[in-house]
Amino acid sequence: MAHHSTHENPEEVDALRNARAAMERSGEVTVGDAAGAQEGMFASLQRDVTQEDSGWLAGLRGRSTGVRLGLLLGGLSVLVASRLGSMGTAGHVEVSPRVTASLVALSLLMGALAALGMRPLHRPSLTWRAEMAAVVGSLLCVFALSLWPSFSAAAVERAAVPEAWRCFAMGSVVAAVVYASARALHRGTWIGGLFAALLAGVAANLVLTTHCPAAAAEHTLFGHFLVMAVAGAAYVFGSRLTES
Amino acid sequence: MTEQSAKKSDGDERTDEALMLAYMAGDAAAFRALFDRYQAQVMRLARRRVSNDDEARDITQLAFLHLHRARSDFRTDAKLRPWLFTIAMNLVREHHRKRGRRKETLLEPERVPEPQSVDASRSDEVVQQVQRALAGLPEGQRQVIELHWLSDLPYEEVATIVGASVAAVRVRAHRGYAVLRQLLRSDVTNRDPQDIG
Repeated sequence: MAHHSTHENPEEVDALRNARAAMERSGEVTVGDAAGAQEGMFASLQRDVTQEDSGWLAGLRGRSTGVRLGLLLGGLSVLVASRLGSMGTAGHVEVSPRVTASLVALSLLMGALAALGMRPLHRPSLTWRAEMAAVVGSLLCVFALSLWPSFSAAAVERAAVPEAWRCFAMGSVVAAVVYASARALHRGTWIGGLFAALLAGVAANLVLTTHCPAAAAEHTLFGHFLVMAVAGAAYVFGSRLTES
Repeated sequence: MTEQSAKKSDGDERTDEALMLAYMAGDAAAFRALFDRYQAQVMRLARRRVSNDDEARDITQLAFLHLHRARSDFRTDAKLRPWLFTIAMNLVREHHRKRGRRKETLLEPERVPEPQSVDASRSDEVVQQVQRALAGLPEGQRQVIELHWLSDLPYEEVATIVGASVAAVRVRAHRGYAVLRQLLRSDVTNRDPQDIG
């Protein structure tokens, strides 16, 4: 054993020595090597590496985590800035406390989900509970924002379900574009993909917040929040289908 | 495996970090040297956590692919081995998620039973005792014990891999070793004294 001196109690080493020796004899610990049995695996690995480097996305995915996160956040910032600009010119969305708070919350949420999705492969992954807390928390945040009441007359006018479906369709297109962009920068963990899907849903909600003046709960739930819920669900079920 | 023995086994005198930096600079042979140096260790690490050799092989291959993917994140002051082992541990965790979070704690060797000498038979029995004892440990302690005791990693590297402080890892290890020793003793005392030798 290479690190006896790092044990706190030498007695432990003595007590476990026999068990360790048996493990060594059985090949369960790091003694010797498995040379000769590695060629097939390395050949297969080389094929994977070649494939990884040959795609047009290789240049993006090969960048450091900082650069990839910067690119994603930069793209999202452009999206937010362009929507804020269009709000000012179109003028059909009233800049109310609800809209302002929604934009701030959704922007912060996008930043957090982008960072979670880009978590480096060499860092210990978050616990399952922490990951689920992030997933549920982000869904609840957008859900709560969609329930925020509005007293605008426009909210009543655009509460009908057909209007909600128009928003849903537009949001889905935005989500698909953001998801594809995030995945282009992504290195392929399952939970990272889920965060990318939720990020896409949040981005869609942000765009819809700046685009649609409606704030009736039935409209925002079905037309806006549903985009995020469907994005997350589609990712979960889609990945299960491809895995099976 | 110590760094010294690793160098001897693959015949490359460069350190892990030097190999990784060489690979980042375009030296494909350096990646092969790293693979030769750590493939067996990563495979064993994975094998203790999954139900068969094929799954362990898949995880091992993917760990090296992820090492390739993450190469641009490697910094000159970083240590490569904790990097690679963290990647492997993350992949094991993801594997269990894919398998429906089923906790696969016991290693089930896919070996055809062969006639064995008495010594070999006892050795296998001890291995199974250790596996049972490890499976009985809380996850945090088991992870630390496996990395420190069976993979020979120093506490500093174990701490990096599990994402905890060195002090916390030492505490987990201390408790884990105490429980493990107790579990092994109780297993031994339950056996016929003549078998213990």
